[in-house]
Amino acid sequence: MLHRLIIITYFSLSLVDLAYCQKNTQEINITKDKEGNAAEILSNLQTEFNLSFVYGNASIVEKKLYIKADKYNLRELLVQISRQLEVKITIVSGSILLIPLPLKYTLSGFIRDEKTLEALIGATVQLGNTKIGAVSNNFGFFSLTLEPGVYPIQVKYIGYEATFDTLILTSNSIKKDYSLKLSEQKLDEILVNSLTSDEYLSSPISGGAILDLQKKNPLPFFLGEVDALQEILYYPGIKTIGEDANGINVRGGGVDQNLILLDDAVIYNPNHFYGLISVFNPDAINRLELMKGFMPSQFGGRASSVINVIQRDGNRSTHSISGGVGPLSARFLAEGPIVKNKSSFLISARQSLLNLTFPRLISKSVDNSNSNFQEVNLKLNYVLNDRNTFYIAGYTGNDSNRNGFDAIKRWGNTMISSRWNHTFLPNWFGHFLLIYSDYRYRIEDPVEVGSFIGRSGIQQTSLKTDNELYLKKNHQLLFGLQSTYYKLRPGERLPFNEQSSLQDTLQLDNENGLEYGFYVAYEGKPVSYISLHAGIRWSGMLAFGPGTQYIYSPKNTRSIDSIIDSIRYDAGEIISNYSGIEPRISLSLQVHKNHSLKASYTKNFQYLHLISTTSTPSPTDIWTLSSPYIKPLNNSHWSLGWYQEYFNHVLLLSIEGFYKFQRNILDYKDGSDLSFTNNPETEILSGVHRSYGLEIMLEKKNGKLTGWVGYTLGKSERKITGTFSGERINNGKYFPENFDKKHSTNTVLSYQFRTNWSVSSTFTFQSGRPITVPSGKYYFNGILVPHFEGRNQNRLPNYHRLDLAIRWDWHNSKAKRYADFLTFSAYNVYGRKNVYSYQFQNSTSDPDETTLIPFVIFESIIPSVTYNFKF
Amino acid sequence: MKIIRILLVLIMFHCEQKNLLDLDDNVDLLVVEGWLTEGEKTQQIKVTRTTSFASPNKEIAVDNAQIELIENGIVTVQFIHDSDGIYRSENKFSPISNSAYQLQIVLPTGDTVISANEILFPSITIQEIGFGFSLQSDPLNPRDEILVYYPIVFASDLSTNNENYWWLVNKNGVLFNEPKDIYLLSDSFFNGKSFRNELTEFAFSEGDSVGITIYTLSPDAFQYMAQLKNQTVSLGTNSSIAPAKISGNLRYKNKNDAVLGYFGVLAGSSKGVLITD
Repeated sequence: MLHRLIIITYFSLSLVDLAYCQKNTQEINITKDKEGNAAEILSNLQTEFNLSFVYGNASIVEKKLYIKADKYNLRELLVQISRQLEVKITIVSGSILLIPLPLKYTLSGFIRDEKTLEALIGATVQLGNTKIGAVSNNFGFFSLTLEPGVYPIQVKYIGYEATFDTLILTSNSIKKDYSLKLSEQKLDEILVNSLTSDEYLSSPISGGAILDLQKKNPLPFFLGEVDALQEILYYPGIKTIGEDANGINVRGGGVDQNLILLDDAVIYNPNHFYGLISVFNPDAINRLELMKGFMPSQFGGRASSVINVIQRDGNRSTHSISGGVGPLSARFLAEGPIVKNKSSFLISARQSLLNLTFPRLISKSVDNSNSNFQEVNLKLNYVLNDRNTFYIAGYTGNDSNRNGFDAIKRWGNTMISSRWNHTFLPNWFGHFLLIYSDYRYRIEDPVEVGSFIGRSGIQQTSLKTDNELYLKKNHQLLFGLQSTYYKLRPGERLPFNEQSSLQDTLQLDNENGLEYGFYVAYEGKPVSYISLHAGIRWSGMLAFGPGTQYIYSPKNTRSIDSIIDSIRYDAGEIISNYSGIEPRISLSLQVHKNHSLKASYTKNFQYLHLISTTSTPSPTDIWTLSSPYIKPLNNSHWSLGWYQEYFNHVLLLSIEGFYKFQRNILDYKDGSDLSFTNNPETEILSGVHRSYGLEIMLEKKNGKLTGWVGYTLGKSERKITGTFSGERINNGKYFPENFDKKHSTNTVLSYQFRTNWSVSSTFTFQSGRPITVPSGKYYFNGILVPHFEGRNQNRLPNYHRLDLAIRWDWHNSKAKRYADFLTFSAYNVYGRKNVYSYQFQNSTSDPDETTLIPFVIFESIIPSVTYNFKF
Repeated sequence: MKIIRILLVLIMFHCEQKNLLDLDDNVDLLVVEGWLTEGEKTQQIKVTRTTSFASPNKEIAVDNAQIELIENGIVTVQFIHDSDGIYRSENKFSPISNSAYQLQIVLPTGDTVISANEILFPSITIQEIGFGFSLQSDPLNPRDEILVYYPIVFASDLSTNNENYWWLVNKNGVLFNEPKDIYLLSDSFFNGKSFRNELTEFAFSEGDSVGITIYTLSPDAFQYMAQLKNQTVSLGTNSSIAPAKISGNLRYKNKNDAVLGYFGVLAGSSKGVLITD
C-alpha cells in the first residue's frame, strides 16, 4: 500500500510539465465516466475540450483509461492520464505529448563470501565504470533499478576478488546472488577499514568509521586482546577519562549517551575489567560501525553516538573451530552449517584468566582484587527461501569482583534478538525484530550488620521494523517503527541468609515506561555529486505506574524535608509523557573526484539516564527514566567536514569541525547520597552542556604500511544553575567536563614486513584532564580534610603511552586447513607512570606535612603472548 | 599540505608542558570542631583556620575568641582558650537529653559565628564483643599467611526510628583514625532489633586490646560525617565523587563567608576486651 502511495506521489509531482499546467487552469467538466481503450478516450477528450494529444508509441493506445465524471482543471486531468498510461507529459506549442516512461526492472540479490556464505556488508554492485550502483546492506542485500538493457556489472568488496558479470535486463526484474572469493593475501592488500573509496567521499554519514574485525591483521591492545571498542578510542573525538574508565565519551557526550547495539540489542555496560576490554568477543564479531558525527534517522534513544556491533552469521558451508589463549582470556568459537547452504550456527565463549596469570598485575590501588568474567555468544540463521531469512542472536556475560571482605559484586548483560528479513519486492527489503535486553547487578554482602543481597536491573523488550525501499537507482526511502517497553528495578534488598539481622525484604518502586519512535528518511543522490540523508524521527516516552510522584515545596530546594504532598499512580496510569520531533539531515557534496564537503545536523532526545555520582560510572550505578523531575536530554549536534583522498584512495584525509549543545544534562548536589532512595530527584541537578572541536584524521588504507594519525582539538564543558544555593556549581558558570582534553592525538601503524610477520604500534598523547585540587586544608577529628572550592579548575599532567605488537603466523599454509599465529605485545612500552588522579594525604615521611600522591593504574611495561588458532 | 604543517606546528606549541600540579590559593576560612560528649567532664572546642594545602603548617589556630554554649536559648557555659586554638569549658558538665544546644563564637575580628541547634540522642549499650578471624597474607612476608582478628559487637538498636551511629575503634588504646576508619551506621535496615556487627575493616592480632565506642548522631551530624568520609576516602581514585566543600551547621551572623566543621552533642557507650586464645 505504501509502495503504491509513493509511486502515485511520484507521478503526481514529476511527470507533468508543471510550468505549463500552472498557466493553464482550463476547467474540464466531465459529466459522465469515461472508461475504455486509451486511444478512444483521448480522442473523445480532444474533441470535447479542444485538446491536442500527440503519441507515437503503440503501447499507449492499447492501455485502458478511466476518467471519473468530475470537474478538473487541465493539470489534474493530465496527472490522471500520466499515472494510468505511465507516460511523461510535455506540452509543446499547445500539443500534449505523451511520452512513454522508460520501463524499469530491478536487479536484486545478496552478496556473500564464496566459502562461508556469510553476508558481505557494504559490497558494491557497479555498472561498468560508472558511478551508478548499489551497496549491500548489513545482510548483504542490494537492489538496483534500471532501464532495460545489457549492462556490464562489477561486484566488489575490499579484500575479495571482484566479480564481473553481464546483466541482460529485458522484460523482468532479476534476482541474482553473487559470491565473492577472498583474494590471495598479497602484501599490498591489507586494509584497515572496510569503507570503499566511493563510500568514503560520498557517504552522507559524516564522522563515521567502520571497523572490520575479520580483517587480516587486527590490532592487539591490552595484554594482546583484539578489541573493537578499544580500537575506536584511537579515532578522533573519542575519549575516556583514563585507563580504567568505564565508558567512553564521544564528542563531549556522557558515557550514557552512546547507543551500543549488539545485533540490534542494547548493551548497557560494554566493558569487562575496569574498561580495559569490551564485552565484544573479537572472534564472533563481523564489524563495528561507529557514528559519531551524525545519527541516521533509524537510530534513536541516545544523544551522542551509535556503536553498532554486528555478529558474524557463521559459516554456511563448512565447519570450523577457532580460538586463542592469552594472559587475559581464553576464547573458543565453533561455527558451521546446520543445513548446508541454508542455515548455520556460530557459538563462542570467553573466560577471563587474569586471576591465574597476573594476580598482582595491577598497581596497589586495585591489588588483591578478584575479578573475572565469562561470556557466551550465539547466532543462528536460516534461509527459508529467496525472500525470507530468519536470525536469532544471543549474548550473555557475567562479571564478578571482590576485594577482601568487601561485598561480592556481580553484573552482566543478556540479550536475545530475533530477526525476520523479508524481501517484499525486489526493491523493498524489510526487517522485523523482537529484542530482549537485560542488564542486572547483584551485591552479596555477608558481613553483619545488615548482611544483605542487593539487586537491581533494567529490562527492555523491543519490537521494531526497519524498511528500505529502493525507489530507483541511487534513491532509497527508509522508514520504520520502534517501540520499547522498559522495566527498571532500581533496587531490592533481601536478607543474605537466615542469620541476617535484616530479615525484611525492601524494594524501591519499579519504573515502567514505553519509548516509541517513528521515522521516515530519504537517502540517495538527488544529483550525481550530492549524497543526502534527510529524515525525520518522532520519538516519545510514556512513564507509567504503579508509582509515586512526590510534590516538593517550590520555596525550597528539593529534599525529603520539602515534600509537601505525593500522588500515587496505579498500574498503567501515565506519570509523565514526553515526545519530540527529531530532524536529521546530512549531505555530502563531492566538489571534485577526490574531495567532498560534508555537513550534518542531528537532533535527538534521550529518555533514559544513568545516575552516577562517581568520576567514572560503576557497574552498580542505576538507570532511570525521564520523569516529571528529570526531563529528557535534548541534544543538537552540527558537523562540517572536508574529506579528501590521495593516490587513488591510498591516503585519506578528513578535517571535521563540530558543535554540540545539550539541555537537561544531570549533575548532583554536593554530598549527594543516591543509594537505595525512592527520591533520586532530591539529589539531582540539571544544566546545559556544550562541546566543540576540530578533528583531523589522515589514514593510509593499503600497502605494507597501514594505519592512521588522528588529532582532536576540543572543549567540553557544562553549566549547572539552579534557583537555590546548593543547586549551582562553580557559581553557575561553565566549567570543564571530567573528560575534557584540549589536545588528543593517536597514531596507529601496522607494517607487514614478511608474509608471516607483521608489527603494529599505537601511540597516544592527550592533554591532562581536569581535576579539582584543594584550595586549602584543615583537620577535623585529627583527619586531614582537603578543602575544595571550584570544580575542575586544574589539570593533570599530559598522558602518553606507546604499545607494540608483533604477529607471527606460525602455520599459515594454504595447503593445510590448520592455521595459527602468535602475538607478542607490550603495553606501555616505556613504562610511563600516567597519573589518573591525585590523592591528597599526609606525607608518609612527616605526618605533619601534606602531599599529593599520584594515583597510577599501570606503572610499568606489561608484556604478553597470545596464541590463536583456527582449523 | 602547507595548512596541515602550519596546524601541526601550532599544535606543538600549544601542548601543555607543565607536569607539576599547581594548587589553588588558599581561601582563608574558619573551622570549628566541637563535639560535646555525654558525661561530667571538661568539654573542648577547637577553632582554627584553613591553610594552603602545600603549607608546611598543619593548621592555623584561632586564639582569643569568646566561645559560649547556649542551652535552650540561655548561655550556660563559657569556654576558655587553652592553646593552639583549643578552648576548654570553664566547668565540667554533661549535655542532657531534651535540651537544644547552640555554639556561639565571637572572633577577635568582632565577627560572630553561630551553630544550628543540636540535641542529644540516646545511646545504645554494647552487650558483648566477640571476634572473628581470617587467614591473610603477611604484609611483611606475603608468601606466609597469618591469622587476622576482627571484632564482632553485639548490641540492640533503639526502638525509635532513624538512629545513626558513629563507631570509634581503638587498638591498644590508639584510635583507628584514618578517613577509611570513619565507621557510620544507620539503623534503617535493622530498626529496633538486636544486631551483630562484624567490624572486618579493623585488623587485630592476638594479645591486642580492643576498645569500641558507639555515639548516636543527629541526622545532620550523620550527614556531615558521611560527607567527610566520602570526600576523604575515595578522593583521587576511580570511584571518587566530585570533590566539594563539606557543609556543616555553623554560619556567620553578620556575613556570608562559609564556616567549616561541625558542632554536635553526642551520647555514647564504650566497652573493651582483650584478644586471647
